[in-house]
Amino acid sequence: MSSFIVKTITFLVVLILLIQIPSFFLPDYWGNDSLMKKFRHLENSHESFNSYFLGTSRVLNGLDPVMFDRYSKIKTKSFNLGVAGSPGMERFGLLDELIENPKYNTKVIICEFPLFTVPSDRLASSVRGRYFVNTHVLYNFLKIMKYDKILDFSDKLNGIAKMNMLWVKNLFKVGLLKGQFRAIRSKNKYYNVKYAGFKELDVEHAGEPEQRRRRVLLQDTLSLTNRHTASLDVYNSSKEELDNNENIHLSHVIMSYIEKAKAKGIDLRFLLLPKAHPEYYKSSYPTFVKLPEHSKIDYADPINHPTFYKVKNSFDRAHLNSTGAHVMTRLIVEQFNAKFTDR
Amino acid sequence: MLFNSIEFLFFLPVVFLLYWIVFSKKVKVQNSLIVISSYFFYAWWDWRFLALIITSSICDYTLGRLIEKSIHPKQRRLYLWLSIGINIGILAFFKYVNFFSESFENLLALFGMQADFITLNLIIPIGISFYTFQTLSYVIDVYKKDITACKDIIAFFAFVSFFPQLVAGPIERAKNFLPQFIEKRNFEEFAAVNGLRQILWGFFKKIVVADNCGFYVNQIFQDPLSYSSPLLLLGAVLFAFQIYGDFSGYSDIAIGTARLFGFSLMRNFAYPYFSRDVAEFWRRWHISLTSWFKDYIYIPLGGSQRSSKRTILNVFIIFIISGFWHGANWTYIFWGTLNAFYFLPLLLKRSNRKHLEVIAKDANLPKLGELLSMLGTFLLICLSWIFFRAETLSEAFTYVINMVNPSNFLSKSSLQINRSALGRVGGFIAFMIIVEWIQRKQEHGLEVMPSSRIIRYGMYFAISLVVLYYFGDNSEFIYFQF
Repeated sequence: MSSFIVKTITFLVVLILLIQIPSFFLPDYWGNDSLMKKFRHLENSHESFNSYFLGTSRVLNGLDPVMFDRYSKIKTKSFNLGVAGSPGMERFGLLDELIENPKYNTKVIICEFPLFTVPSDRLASSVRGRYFVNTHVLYNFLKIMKYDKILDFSDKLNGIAKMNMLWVKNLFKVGLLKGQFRAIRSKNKYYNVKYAGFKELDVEHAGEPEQRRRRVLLQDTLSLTNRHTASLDVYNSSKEELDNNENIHLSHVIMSYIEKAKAKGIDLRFLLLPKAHPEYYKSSYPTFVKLPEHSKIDYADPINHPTFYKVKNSFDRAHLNSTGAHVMTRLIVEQFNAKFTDR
Repeated sequence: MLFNSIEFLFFLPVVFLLYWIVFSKKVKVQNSLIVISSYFFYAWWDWRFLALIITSSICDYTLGRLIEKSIHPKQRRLYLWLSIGINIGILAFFKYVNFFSESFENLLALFGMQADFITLNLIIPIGISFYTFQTLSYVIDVYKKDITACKDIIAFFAFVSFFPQLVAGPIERAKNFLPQFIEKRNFEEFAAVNGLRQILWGFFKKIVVADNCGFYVNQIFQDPLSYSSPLLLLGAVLFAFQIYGDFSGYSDIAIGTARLFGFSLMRNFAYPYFSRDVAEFWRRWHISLTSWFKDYIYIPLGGSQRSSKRTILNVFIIFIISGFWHGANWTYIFWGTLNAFYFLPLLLKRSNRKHLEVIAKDANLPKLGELLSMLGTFLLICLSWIFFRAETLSEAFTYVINMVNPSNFLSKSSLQINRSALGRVGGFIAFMIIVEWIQRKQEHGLEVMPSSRIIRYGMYFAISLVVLYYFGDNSEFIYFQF
């Protein structure tokens, strides 16, 4: 019996080691095609970028790198690495890459505040929705769940079960090997990414799925008002509530990145953007608000920046249009400049 | 829970370790663990239908005991029919009630009458056809006094619900299987290793062969009018390998898993595509079901021992019931009937038992005649699979007509895939055929392995890597729907 168990475990260990081999030939972000394209562009471009924006479609559609560079007081050459539907957990690997790897010549990173949100079933069934769940991410997730005061017990339990399952799936590369081999084969393909990675949303340039979302907004602007109201609820929380809901481990993780970046002379700022899902603010704001002033930029604030919740600046209920994006980029770069001068 | 799911990867080692390390002292405790883990395994899909398994187990346990205790033949018969009524009643309700009401509506419509029967929005409980037949065989065997009624209720519940074969067989016989729950089981490393090999081979057939074939089969069967004759033929051939890989793969995983727990399940497939005629095919395909029909329907009806007319009728009865067992659809009934037509000439010529031994028993390769018979049989079976796979009879006929239409032979059409991917699938099928040909005298494709440890482990790793490469889509087993 014991020899059977030892043999089986040895076989499984060797098998697990064997299937890790393709990972050595791939970057950490291999599972996200859009990121692969953007990084390929960065590596092959003659322009020497040194400033990067990370985040979801709110960053992709909301931060114009060219405008940022035009108004920035320090010399920056920015690139928007925002990707639609990018899970927060994916961003930590990207931060590591940009901070640690000298080939990116990183001076500035503006990163949408990342959360360890459990991927939805639909997302988790795809490679890009789960490929980044490794031991390190799982460990941080479990600790964040330990200190979380917002989710209820059953949500935490479901989240823990799901993340463990994803971790095992990834350990055995279930459904990933095929994608990894495909990524290795297409690793050297070059894609020309236009407008330094920025994609502005306006009626002329948006595709049909975006237009559909826009029509929904125009038919019923209540959804936008609802997002405004929901974020107001969070921003109007008392100091005590915010103190109580801060996630100590998430703070610790974020701070470790700030320190790591600082040690490399990189200016890393975390950003809250308007019109995200209400649950996102509930979980992120109490921790975000505790960050050092120099490391955060907040334009989700519905009290001081209600303009981003207005129809004239919106493309749909969750994204800014090109006008809104330019207004926000301008404000971000001004705040960036001011802080840069302060120090 | 699916065998090809990550949950099963957790479930199996946990149950295995509990079974052999924590609960190994007493058979009763091990059986209790089997019952609990099997119910958990089933409930993972839908816990509500556990009630059906429990009802079926209670009824047949009680009725089995009552049959044994009764002295009066009338009373014994009453209990037997009560058991048949309950089991078939549940099966008919969930599986066939809509079919009968819709068919009756259509029949009335033929005579210009309109009827609107209620059709129920029912989910067919997974595995119902399998465990129902298994418990029925127990009660019939007790009635026939072939076995004694089981007194150990936990052993009986474990026999009905044993998770490796609960949802898609093999449909076990109480005579072979029930005593295994009573006797003390000892861990045998050789059996466990053989079980793991069989599981690996089952995964290869399911995940690598069947699921890859399924990708093209779905495309072709979805719109047969868009494809040329050669592609339609390819679709039928690929479906033949899909259903074989899927179902025999499941059976291999089930039998291999049972071996890990010290159980020996009956063989369900014996390389059916190496058959030289249809009669041989039916001795090698879904053996547990075919033999069930033979023992409990065909022989009680008189088999081939009565008049020719009666024999013909009996053959049609079992093939049609076999088709109907697969599902409430005219396509399955036609599939069964077609196979009866294939089988009948062999039976009437008394050559249905011509090929009882394994093909090319003392040679490495088949003789030309054997090869041609094998190919001919395979093509006949492929033709029948078209009816099995199609959604409706008219779809199946459209497929067949298009496939044999000479003007469609040269028409231009192509699959939405690259050729190298299709070539890879062909390579996997060829690999499966070669391995199974080499092992045709053994129970499964990896039963006898090279003595060189390096080659042996090299093969295990290579097959595991290919399985893991294609693993992840969690596609269901085709036979779950039956």
